[in-house]
Amino acid sequence: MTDIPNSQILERIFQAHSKDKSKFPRMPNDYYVQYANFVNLLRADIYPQVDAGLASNSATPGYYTAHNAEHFDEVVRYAGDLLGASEANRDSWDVLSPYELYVLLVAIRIHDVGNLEGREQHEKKCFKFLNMYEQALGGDRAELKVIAKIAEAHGGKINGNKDTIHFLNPQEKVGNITIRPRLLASILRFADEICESRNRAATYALKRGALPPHSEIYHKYAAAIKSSHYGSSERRLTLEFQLEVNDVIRKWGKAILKTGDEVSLEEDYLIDEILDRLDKMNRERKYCNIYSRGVYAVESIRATIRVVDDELDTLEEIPVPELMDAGYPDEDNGKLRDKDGLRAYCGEALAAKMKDRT
Amino acid sequence: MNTVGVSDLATNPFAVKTPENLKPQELVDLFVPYPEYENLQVSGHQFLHGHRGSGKSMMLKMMTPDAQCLTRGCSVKELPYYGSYLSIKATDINAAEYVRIENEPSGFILSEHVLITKLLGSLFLSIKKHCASLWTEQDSHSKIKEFAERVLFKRLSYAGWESSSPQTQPSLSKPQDVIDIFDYIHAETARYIKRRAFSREYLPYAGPLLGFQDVLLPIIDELRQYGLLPDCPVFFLLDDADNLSLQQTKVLNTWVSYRSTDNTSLKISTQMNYKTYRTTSGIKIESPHDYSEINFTSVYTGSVKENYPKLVEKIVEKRLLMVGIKGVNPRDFFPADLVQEEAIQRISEELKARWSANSTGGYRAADDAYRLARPEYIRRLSGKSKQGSRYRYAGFDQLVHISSGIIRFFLEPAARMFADQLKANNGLPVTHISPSIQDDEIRQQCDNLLIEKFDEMKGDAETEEDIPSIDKLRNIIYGLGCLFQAHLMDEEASQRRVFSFIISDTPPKNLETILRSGVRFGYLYEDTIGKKSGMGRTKLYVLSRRLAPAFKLDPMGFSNYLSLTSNFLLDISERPNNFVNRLKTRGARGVLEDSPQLSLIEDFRNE
Repeated sequence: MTDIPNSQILERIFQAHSKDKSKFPRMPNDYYVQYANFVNLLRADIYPQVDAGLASNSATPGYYTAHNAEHFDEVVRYAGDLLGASEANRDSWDVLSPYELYVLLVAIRIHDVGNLEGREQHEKKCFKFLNMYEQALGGDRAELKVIAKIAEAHGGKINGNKDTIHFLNPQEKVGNITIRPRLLASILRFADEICESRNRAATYALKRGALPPHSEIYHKYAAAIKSSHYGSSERRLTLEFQLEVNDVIRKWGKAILKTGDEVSLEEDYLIDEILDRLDKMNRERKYCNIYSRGVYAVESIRATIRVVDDELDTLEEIPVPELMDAGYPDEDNGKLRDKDGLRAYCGEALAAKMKDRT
Repeated sequence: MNTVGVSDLATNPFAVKTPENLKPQELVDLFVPYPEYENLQVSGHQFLHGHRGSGKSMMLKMMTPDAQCLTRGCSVKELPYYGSYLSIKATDINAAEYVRIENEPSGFILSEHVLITKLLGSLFLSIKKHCASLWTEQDSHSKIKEFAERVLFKRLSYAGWESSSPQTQPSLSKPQDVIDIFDYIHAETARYIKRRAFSREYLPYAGPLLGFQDVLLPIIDELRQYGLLPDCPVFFLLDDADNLSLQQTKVLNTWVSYRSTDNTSLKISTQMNYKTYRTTSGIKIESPHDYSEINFTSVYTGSVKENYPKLVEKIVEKRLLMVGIKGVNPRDFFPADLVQEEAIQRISEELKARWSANSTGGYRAADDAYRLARPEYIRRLSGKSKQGSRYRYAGFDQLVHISSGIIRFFLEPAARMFADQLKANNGLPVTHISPSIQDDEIRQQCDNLLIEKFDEMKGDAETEEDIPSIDKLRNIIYGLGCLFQAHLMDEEASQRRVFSFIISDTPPKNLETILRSGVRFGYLYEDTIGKKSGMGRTKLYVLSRRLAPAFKLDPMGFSNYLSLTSNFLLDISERPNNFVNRLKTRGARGVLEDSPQLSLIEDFRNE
């Protein structure tokens, strides 16, 4: 049996559950063998080259946080956390069907591979790269397209719309097996969102000031994450940030700004970057919950941000409120009667229209 | 139905050419805007339901760029929208092989790809035909080349297209080159589908897979950016969408559910047989949330039907003008039988006199008398000497009513009448159509509908199981015609002009299927009316007035409806002769008394 190096719990569950061939669209295929071969091929051919591709082929070349094999492994791990997968429930786990698990895992394994050709529109290239492994994955492009669409919804925009998951079907049939593309895409998307850790930072280059200035803050952000954990019972994501004094007393480079012939460096404080990223994470939480609710929902994000001294003693703890949906909804989305399409049907306008008809 | 003896619009003003074959100027000259036409021209997904020949295709074709430029007197660049027309019936995508892929794993993906390839192919064909004015010749080469390199190839490669074959080697500079690519992709898919048809084993698909969101919408957006399309919304005008397979229909509905109507809208016409409103994930799309709809049948036989005669009048005037017949009133061109009209007038006077003499009769308007005089005239003709067939179905107003809201059912017989009149005139110009020629043609049309059309339907039946259902429909139509005739012939009946019915209970599925096919094939029309209880509305089925001659019915104007039970209708569908014999011996009122399931005739109303 083909093995997956550094396999994650979700992959081990899949291995156990893939034995029942009747749960898959094409019974002669061994979906676990397909998946394992695919992962091993990616580990050999693609993953080692993604970071180099990102650095050199992006519109703004730079030193990006790691998109290596470990990143893909970690997304699989976080997806397992979100879905409450553990060694203890390996045999009884049934949050997703075996085939849905296969689709999710393949989608995770391919979702960021497009970065090899540069950051821009990387999410749109999943199908193109999946096709390269068409034979390993069973040879059915139509099935790969379904998976690619799920992977492609992890970011970017579809025709100007950020609500990329909406464009997927709530349910879809592959052969006689029904899958839930929106649910799967929301799992992938949020697992990817929370998959930031020190492991992704270029610690060596950061310490020695060897990073391109416009890449600094991203590595600083990743390096500041002490821990990140999702508790499925309390439905809460807990993040711990640890910042040193030197990290917070100055700004760090985050982008190159071009105004005409002038080129300058955009900078920001690390704490502001962290708060902005937490806001973004919370938006993603709310967004993905729309599509995953009913199976699971991430109810809150609890972040602890500490500034520590050289002895790692806390000098300051930033009072970040728990990010959750609470309180009575405000009216900031505007009233129905003010919406463009409805204005012609309100009050005077409707009265006048009806009077004309009588 | 054939347009016998009709060759061309130049010689016969009523010749019916399918809109697909009309030249843009002919389209514009012949088109009379329906009130719904304005609504159709605004952004938003829309369904346009109507029987064959009701004018849907004409309306969609009028929305194509050349017809719009002629109508508005503007250039392509100034168009408020860009209509790209695709007749589903004229494509090969509804062939049986395509239906077979519906059983494949992820067949939906392949069906979407097939549809997108067709839509893009037709869009680029339209660009080639209409958009040349948007660029200079030199400009076009660089624009198309740049568009191909920066957008098209990128999008197609994301969708799994490999431009390795010599036919598709990119060296693009003309719209035709892009059309060739889509033709090639479609041919590749068609080859796979055909190969699949011969293979027992599963045969994986290995070509590109184009989608609505990842290929179609971005390409349209970029075509505008590159100035290859005018900067306005694109409307895909999909004609006869009933011809899509079930899976293709679900794919189309899924696109409708996206509601992405800012830049691209779908205008979908159906011939009352759209397969489903479910999306690929089983969710139902609904009006007005996902789309709006126009139902031609209810528009023209329903509450606003007074628009229809005016519309036909305008169409006749326009068509007569095209062959140089100016200033002729359509009523003079299609005159009624004067002797007959005078006789009806006399009966009308007689009725009025009788009502005023009868103190219990109360006041009844002159209009009422005239309206009731016609059925009475038909009864008297029939009663005296079995010469009921001498009633003449002639005169513009009768012809309009007989056409039952479907313009083609006016034009096709009119074209044959014109050809017959031309022959009868021995070379002299046609100034009017004689009542006898009108009558002959209307009777012939009726025979065709009642006999040949049913045989044709049976011949076209997809399965043997469909045939009994067609027989049952024929029985119901025959039984209803006889029932309505019995009312007309009953001098004592309080309501004599009956053309429609409602079902007073919940119809079983088999009856619904029969009635639905009656609607689909134009024997019945559907409308809705308020329930007598005042709670909600119910379906009203109206018998096509084209059948009036077969049952000696009066096709004019308003009529009443019967409230029938499902069992009553099912009984007619099984034993029509039995029912007709009862009608003959017991009369309409006798049948009413015999049948506990048949309720009394309801109030007089405008159907």
